[in-house]
Amino acid sequence: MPFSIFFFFFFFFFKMKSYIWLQTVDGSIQQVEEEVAMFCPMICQEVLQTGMGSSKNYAISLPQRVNPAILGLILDYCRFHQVPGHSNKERKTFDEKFIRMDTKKLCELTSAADSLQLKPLVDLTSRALARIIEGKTPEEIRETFHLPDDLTEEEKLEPLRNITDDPRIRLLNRLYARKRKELKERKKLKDVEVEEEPKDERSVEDLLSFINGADGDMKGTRTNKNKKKNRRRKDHAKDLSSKNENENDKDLNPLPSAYHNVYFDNALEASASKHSRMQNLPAISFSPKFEFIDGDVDDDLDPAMKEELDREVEDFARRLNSDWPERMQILSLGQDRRLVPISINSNGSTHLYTALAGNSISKVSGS
Amino acid sequence: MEQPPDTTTNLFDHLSKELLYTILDHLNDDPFARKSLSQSCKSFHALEATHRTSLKPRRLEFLLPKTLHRYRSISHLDLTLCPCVDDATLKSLSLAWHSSLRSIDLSKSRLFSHVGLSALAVNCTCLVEIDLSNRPDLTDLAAKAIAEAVNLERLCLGRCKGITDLGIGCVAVRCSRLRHVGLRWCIRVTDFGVGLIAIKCKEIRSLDLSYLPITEKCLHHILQLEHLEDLVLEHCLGIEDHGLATLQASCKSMKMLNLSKCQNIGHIGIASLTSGAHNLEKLILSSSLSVTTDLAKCLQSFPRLRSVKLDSCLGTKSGLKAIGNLGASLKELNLSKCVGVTDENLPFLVQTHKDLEKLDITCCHTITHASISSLTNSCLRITSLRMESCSLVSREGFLFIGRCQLLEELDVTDTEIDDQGLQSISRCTKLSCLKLGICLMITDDGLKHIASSCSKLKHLDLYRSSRITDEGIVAAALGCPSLEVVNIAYNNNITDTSLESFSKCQKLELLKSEGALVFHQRVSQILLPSVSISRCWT
Repeated sequence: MPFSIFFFFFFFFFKMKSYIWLQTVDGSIQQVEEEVAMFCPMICQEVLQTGMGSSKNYAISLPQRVNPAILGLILDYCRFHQVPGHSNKERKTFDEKFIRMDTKKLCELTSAADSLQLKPLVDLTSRALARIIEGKTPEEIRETFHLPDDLTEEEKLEPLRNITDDPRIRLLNRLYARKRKELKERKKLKDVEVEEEPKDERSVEDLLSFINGADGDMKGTRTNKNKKKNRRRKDHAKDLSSKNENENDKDLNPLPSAYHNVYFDNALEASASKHSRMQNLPAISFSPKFEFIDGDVDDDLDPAMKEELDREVEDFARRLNSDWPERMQILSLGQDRRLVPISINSNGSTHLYTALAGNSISKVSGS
Repeated sequence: MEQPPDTTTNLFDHLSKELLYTILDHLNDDPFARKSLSQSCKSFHALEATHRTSLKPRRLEFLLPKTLHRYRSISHLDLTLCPCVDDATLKSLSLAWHSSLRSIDLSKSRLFSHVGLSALAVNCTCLVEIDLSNRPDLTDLAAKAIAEAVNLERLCLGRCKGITDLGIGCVAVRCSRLRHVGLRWCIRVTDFGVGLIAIKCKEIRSLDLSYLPITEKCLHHILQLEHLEDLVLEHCLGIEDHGLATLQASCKSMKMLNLSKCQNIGHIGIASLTSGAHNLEKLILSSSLSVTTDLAKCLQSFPRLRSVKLDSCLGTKSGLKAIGNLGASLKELNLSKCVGVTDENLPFLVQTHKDLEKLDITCCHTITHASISSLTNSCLRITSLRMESCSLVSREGFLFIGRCQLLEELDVTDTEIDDQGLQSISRCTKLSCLKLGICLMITDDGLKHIASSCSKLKHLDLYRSSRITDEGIVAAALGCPSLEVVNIAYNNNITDTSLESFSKCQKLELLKSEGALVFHQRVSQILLPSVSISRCWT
């Protein structure tokens, strides 16, 4: 609004109260305070552009959708909101009371406010209509708004009521949810299995390095196989050490077939034991090198999910403080594994080294 | 005179189509409501179809010809719930929505190849956004097919490990309008491919090159991009200080730089990368380097710096103190798992950054209540405080937190907080996220304080807080009707009574109750269908 016009209105208002004349479609004319009427953009435009509204004979004609009753409501709204100084809370309270009316009147009010370009009121009423629709079934919506039931059966989708009311469908949804979580856990297990590979690879390298330095080709091949099995056996818990000793006794007098069977069983047992331990300790941390390899190999897991899982595993490990000593033990065992080739030629002070040396000597003698 | 009610008039006849669209927009938060409205009568069935612009089908069958025919104006298509999208499907939908489709997310789909992508790119001439993440089997043929979508502005190829410089080159040459490019874990893309992107796509705003085997050679071109705002170089181990020292270019438009896990970059490299970047607002250095006075001097050059992330860094005493002397006033600071944070330097930090809004001191094991007192005295505008596992903070330390009246997020998992602490915290009436996992000192009384004051709570975590019983849970459910996510896992004292109380929380989406003593049958009768119950057993 140009400043001069604003000044003019200010001066005029200061002098005397003025009115705007409005005419509804049924022909009735009424007189409205100017500041209230001007709150409607459509009326404001009309006054400024055409000069109408200054007297009963030059009343502004309102759109067809604005009837006298609805106009009364709109003017009540404008009277309240055009006054400066109301707090936001007061305005909100007024609005909530204002839209408490029957649905038909609410629809008429929305349409009228739209024709007068009264955007705040349109927003208020359209949200109110949306809230009426929320939570209703199609049948209820038809009844509330007097809509025709003209959809064909083909156009009607699965009735929504089944989704919420039928206990069988609800049960099915729960089963689906559980299945999805099982699949997710299966992915976690896959992670664990993948993480085993690097250790196996290192083990092979150690074997090759050791064999090349010690034995000939033919004997080396057989010894290689034996030593791999020996390493797996060492992963057993302490309570299996006596069993290892028994195995040693048997090995002193082996028949070829019995020999192979024994080692096959041991391999299976060792594998199961290792897997079980991995499941119990999902929070084992690896060096950055392994982290990179894991990231490279793991093609099935969504990276966002992977990062979230890593975070969860880390949090889980931190929360289970009591598992720390056990993890340290496993890490130390891992370190021992690296030192195995070196200790072959020395007399280890610990039981682990002694057992290893014994096994090694025994195997060499046997072959 | 009052007219008799006219029950044959359609009340919506009064409303124009634009008004009806407005009402539909207000129903966007409630998918059931839109569906109910579309099934109420023929005119609304058609209205909903013409108004809908985004689609996220739950199953691929929903994309059968019927759906393609019904929805004519789909702009955004999210297929993350449909893993079995194949070439034929891509061709069908590209023909159906050839003039409207602008954005498609295929990051969870596995069965399509470059053939489908080619159909998509050729038919949908308005396509501006594609997400093809998580397809390590895609090759340069796919990248070449994508390049035919010459109007692309946003492209995400995260973890597409089969794509090399050749494919990226095709994209760079033809899609010159690209603004947002994600190449995270595209580990066969090198300096050559990235350099081509920087040379050909001059409109680039954000670039994610995490885990790529790139060096400073491509950075020379990247830093000459005039509109670049976000640069992510997480775990780019080929970038080193002595290479960065030779950089001549500077990027004045940069606002965010992420150098997480770049162990080979120190303060010299950071100075080179950010020379001239006076608009820098966010710097992420997680798990990368030591926080020294030299690093702090680098950060002096950024008057608009608002957010610094130093989690999992090694902090020296003088370095962390020097962070307090920055010219800029920080709003967000992450010192999670940062070794070296103590009662000597943290109080100094928070006294000089009074505008701090978000602070993360998770696992800063050596700080005590003295730091918390200093924090709550200085930073009254704080909205997010994470101090999980700050085990040396005594009970009285938590009494200070109630001073921060604007607090919205609080994480005190695995701490010594007790009921008096919760009573103090209940003065923070704007709380929306509260994590109290493994808080062994809190009881129902403390939870009642929270329930009586923090009615806006949406996220409540009581994981393994073993002294909480049904009484506290019922109070929380009654006092916090807006709850969306609740975690009561491994709480042996919680029974069906708690679950019954949650049925009053209409917005509840996720309830974690592993190990809780609840029964399936009653759960199915009580809770809403949208609630996901994870691993619930008797």
